[in-house]
Amino acid sequence: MSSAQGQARQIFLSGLIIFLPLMVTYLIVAFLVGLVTGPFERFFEALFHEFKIVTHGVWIFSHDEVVHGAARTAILLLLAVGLVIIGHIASWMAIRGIISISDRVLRSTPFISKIYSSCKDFTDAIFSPKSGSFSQVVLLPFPSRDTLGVGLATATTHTDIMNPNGDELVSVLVPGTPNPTVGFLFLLRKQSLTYLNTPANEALRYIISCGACLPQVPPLPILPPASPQQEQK
Amino acid sequence: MKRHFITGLVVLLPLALTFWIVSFIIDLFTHPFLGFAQKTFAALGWDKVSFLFLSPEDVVNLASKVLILIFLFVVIMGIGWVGRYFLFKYILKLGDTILHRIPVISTVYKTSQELIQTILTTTNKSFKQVVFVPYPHSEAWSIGLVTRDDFEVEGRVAVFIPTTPNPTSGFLVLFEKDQIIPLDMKVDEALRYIISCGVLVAPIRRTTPPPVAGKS
Repeated sequence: MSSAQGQARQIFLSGLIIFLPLMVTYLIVAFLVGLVTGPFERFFEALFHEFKIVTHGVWIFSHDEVVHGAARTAILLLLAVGLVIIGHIASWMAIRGIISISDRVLRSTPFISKIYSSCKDFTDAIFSPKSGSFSQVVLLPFPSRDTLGVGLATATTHTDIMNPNGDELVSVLVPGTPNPTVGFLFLLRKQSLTYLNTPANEALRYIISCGACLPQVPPLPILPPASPQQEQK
Repeated sequence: MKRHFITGLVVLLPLALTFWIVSFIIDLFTHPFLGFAQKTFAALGWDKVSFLFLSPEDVVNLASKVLILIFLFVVIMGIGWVGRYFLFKYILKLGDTILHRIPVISTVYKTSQELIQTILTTTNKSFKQVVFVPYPHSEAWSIGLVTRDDFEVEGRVAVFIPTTPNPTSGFLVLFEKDQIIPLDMKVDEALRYIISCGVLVAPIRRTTPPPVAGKS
């Protein structure tokens, strides 16, 4: 009896191993898509109803579900095309003027200015051309001098606090586990860091999985990159 | 192609994020009154108007939100104005005393009252001074904000160290005064540094006049 039970359990488990990653992927992707398409959904569904593009359900999906799915797909496609077009025309002089004017207006609107400038700082940081920013994986002494944490070196800066001739400090982002949207930001001397050859996405995978997914290539220390010339103002 | 896509994203994403956050905050404030406003619209028979592509429902929703915001603004101005007069001052104080007496509510009310007063009153210098602190240990540093420079526990000053990139959570750590280095950096700059995960940073310099030693 117990062996039959054990076998059933085995079968269920192996099914689960195949099914769960699919389910989790679906949930996360659906959440992200919903986040992006959310504000436009009502409008597009109204359009679909207005012009009677879809008139009845398909297969097991009801009419509403088909409209919903079609609206989402249309929004995603239009957004992708729209982004490419905006990116394309953003380099034209006239458009650039408009963008900088709208930027200034948003930055001087009382309540909105703080939110907008924070959001802009964040996206600028992520997409900035210097964004070798988030690619260097380091080990740092964290939270005490005898333990190590995994972090991403984001930028270097100068300070004259410890030593009047000036020191170079590296900003290190230590992402939280398993949710990397909460993290720590520390400043350390380059000598206290161990630079690794691991690519950033593998390090992030390692962190998000709470250490369960190992990097494919065993991490090895490498020489720190040469310090960039003082580009700060 | 990919380059253009990313440029478009750089232009549009901050707008989208701003819109998302602002509408979240507006919803937070208007939500308690929304049902009432919608019922009022329905009772007046104004819930049949559709405008361009907006359905009647959407129109009512939008109009109620705008009206609620205006109404809240007027009420807040009204309270602030009326509170200067003696009689109303007395009434407000009475309301305050009553809220302080109700068991569970008093705890929540007192805390939020004190927090709002500390942040919005311009006279004291809480969360105004950016400092450089040895955290988490003596060879790594963090940037923090002095929570109140007029309060000490065993000769130590409390520093708020925000998390990255979302500074709405963080740690409260007590440092000895000589461990803290006040920086020549505005709070805005410090927040910029934290929200951008360290990418947007200027050289870090201490302020010329020595530490927090002013008060106490």
